[in-house]
Parts: sequence; structure tokens; C-alpha cells
Amino acid sequence: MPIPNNVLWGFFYSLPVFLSMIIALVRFKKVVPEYHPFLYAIILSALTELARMIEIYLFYTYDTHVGYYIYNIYVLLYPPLCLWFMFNKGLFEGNKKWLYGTIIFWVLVWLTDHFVINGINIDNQTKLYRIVYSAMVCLFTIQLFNRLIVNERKLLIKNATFIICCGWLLFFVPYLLMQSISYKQSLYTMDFLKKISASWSILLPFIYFIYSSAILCMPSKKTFIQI
Amino acid sequence: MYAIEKDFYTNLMVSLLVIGGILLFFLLSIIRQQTRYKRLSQAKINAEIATLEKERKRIASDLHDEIGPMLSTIKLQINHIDIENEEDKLLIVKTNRYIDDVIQKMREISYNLLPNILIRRGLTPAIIEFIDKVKDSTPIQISLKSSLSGRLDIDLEVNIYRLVQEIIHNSIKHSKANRLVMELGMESSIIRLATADDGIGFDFAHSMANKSGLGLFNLQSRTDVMEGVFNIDSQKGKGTRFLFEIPFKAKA
Repeated sequence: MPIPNNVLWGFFYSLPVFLSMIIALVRFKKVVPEYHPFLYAIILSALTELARMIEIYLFYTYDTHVGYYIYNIYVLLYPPLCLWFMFNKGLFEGNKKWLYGTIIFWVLVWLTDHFVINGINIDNQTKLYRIVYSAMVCLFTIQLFNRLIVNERKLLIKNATFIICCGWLLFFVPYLLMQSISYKQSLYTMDFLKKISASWSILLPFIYFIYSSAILCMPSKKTFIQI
Repeated sequence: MYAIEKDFYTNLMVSLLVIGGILLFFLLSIIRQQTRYKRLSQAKINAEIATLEKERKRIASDLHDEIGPMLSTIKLQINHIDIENEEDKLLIVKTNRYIDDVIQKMREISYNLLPNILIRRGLTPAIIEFIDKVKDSTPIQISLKSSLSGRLDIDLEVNIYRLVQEIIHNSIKHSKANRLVMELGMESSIIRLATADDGIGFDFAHSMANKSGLGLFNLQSRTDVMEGVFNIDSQKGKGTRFLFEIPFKAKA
């Protein structure tokens, strides 16, 4: 069967992630290692979109099964990478207990969402974990943002971390709103939920453009002399 | 979609646009204020350091050009006094020694304020002379490799000299190192000062967060004045490495 327009538009809005991935791969060895978690996150996002595109193509061409398991595993892996990057930039003041504690908490919420609330199933789109992690990432991003404003000695607009924080706020605040509104999906029609999701998707090209700019602004590794 | 959902959707989009607009304005305002604050801070630090160096230069010049000759004159006049008393002769000898000590101390103070060699011959000879002066008072083997040719803007030379002084003093005071290696060179239009020691190292992020270590702030401030970039790599037990990259302006 032909691929519907809204699915095609979804592909189109996601394409800039591949540009971000290419820039990430090109700059990977040159940038300071503390930025690597963000680059891993970009590469993970691109591979997830690619896998999802292949899955949907096969569904419309060969009538294969399409589930949410790719995205469900992606949302389990993506926030810890974001948190790892924020930790490298000074969140939690270098206290690793907070880092590990937060990641363990997220894993527990993910397991609860997929194996307790929704039965033993990682194929459905779940809401609780998505709301929890996106709210927490928003708060951590704001904290990092404020830290940068106070401590940064150079121009903020050229600071890769600042640009990433702007991208994350632009991504996660509407995402959180969208997930919260559609928490009780039975209250709304499918058309309404699709329209909400499509409205959020329009932001994706801008967000990936922001991420690409951030990667280009990342400082290069310095060659110190050795004794 | 139901009519109520359509209304809800429209209201939601309008609210998001308004909130988004406010947040964008907030962001642009922060960037603008931060740029302005950075410019003012930079100007303030520049003025402070310029005043400091100017005062140092003036005091060094006064010591060398005024106090120095006066002391030499005093010594000369004392030696011309005719004395037959042995006790008084001994007193003259002691006084000469004190005057020599004062002249020596004054030369050291003048040198520490602003070495003459830095003005006359430039950065590399000044650093080499400084290393020669300190090496007797420390077990650390200090070496410099410089590929810098020609003179730089005098303010730039003074600031880089101060960076080197600060690094050497910090290594002597804190590092417990056996060796300190320094490299000074030019790449394209960037002056590169790189140092490394094999000392005990330290937790840089912790020091900056606790604002302990005036030396590091001095290094950062001097680098900011020159619009350069300051990088540090240090871990406990693994020594300390500094890298300064400073835009280069040739002496007119």
C-alpha cells in the first residue's frame, strides 16, 4: 500500500539528523572527549530514525509488523547519554552518585512502564517514562544553562554547550507537553493526536540544525607537550 | 477531530507561539547582556593590568635611575672620608657592605618588577635569564625551547613573561616536580606557550570551583587580556600541562 503523506512528512522532517550524524562522525576524533556523549546521542538518534524508516517501508511494502520497540529502546539509551554529557560539563558538581542514581531511577521507571503498568510489552508507545525523563532533562538543562550564564568567560553564542542546551529546551519542552496532553489517549480522537504529534515534528529540522551548529562549535582537542 | 478538539488545538498552538516568543526574547536578551558584560569585564581587567604594569615599570625605573645612583654616590663619598681610627675604618667597611647589599636588593626588586632585559632584548632572553636566576633556589630542572624570532608588541611580551613567571613559581611552590619543560613558538598568527611538569598534579575543576588558587585566576586573567585561550590538563599523580594560544601582533 502507498505510504501516507503524514508518514512521508515525518521522514522528511527527520532527514536533518543524518547531516548531524555525518558532522558528528567527521568531528568525532578532533573534539575534546567530554563532548563525546552528545555525539554518541546524535549517532544513536540517526540510527534509530534509519531503523524506523526501514521498518515502516517494509510495513507498507511487505505488510511486516511495526511496533514501538525501536523507539522504546532508543528512549532508554538517549537520556543517559544526555545526562553523561551534562555531568561532564559540571552538572551534579562532579558527584557520580547523582549521575548513577538518576540513570538507575530512569531504568526503573522504564521497566515499571513497560513491564508493570502496560503488561510485559515493549512494543507499545508508553507515556509515564517519557514524561518523567523529559521533565528531568528539561530541569537539568535549565540548571546547566544557568551555570553557563554565570561562569562562561567567552561569547555564549559560540559556546557548544549553550547551543546544545537551547536545542534540548526546544526539543524537550514541546515533547513533554505533547506527551502530557496525550497521556490519556482514550480522551481524544486519533486525528487530534496525530495533529499534535505532527506539530511537534515540524520543530525537528530546526533542532537538528541547532545540534549541527553545536558540533561545529565544539572545541578541538589540544596537543599538550609531554615530558 | 471534534470541534472542541479543534478549538483546544488552536488555543494550544497560539499559547505555545506566545510562550516560544517570550522564551526567544529571554534568550536573545541573555546573549546580549552577556556579550556586554564580557566586554566590560574585559575592559576592566585590561585597565587593571595595564595600570599594574605601568606602576611596576615606574617604580622599577625610579629605583634603577634615581635610588641606585644616589646609593652609589653615598658609597663614593663615604669612601672619600679620611679616617685614621681603626674602629671607624671598620665601620666604613661595614657601611660599604650594607650599601652594596641594599644596591643588590634594590636591583632584585627592580628586576622582579620589570626586568630591563625584557625591554632591551625581548621575551626569550628575559625568560632564559629568569630561569637562570631561579634554578639555584629549586631542585626542579627547568628548560625552555623557543622558536620565537623577532620582537613582539611590548605589552604582549610582558604578559607572556608574567605567565611564565607564574607557572614557574607555581611549580616551585606546589608541584614537587623534578622537571619543568617549556616550549614557546609561533604557528600561523598564534603564539603557543606550552609547559609540562612531572609533579603531583591537581584537580583543576575542584580548584576553580572552590576559587582556591589565585595563581590559576591570574593565568586566566592574563590570557583573557591578550584575547588568548588557556587550556590545562592536570590529574593527581600525573603532572600538569598548560597550553596558551595567543593571537600574534608583530612589533611595529
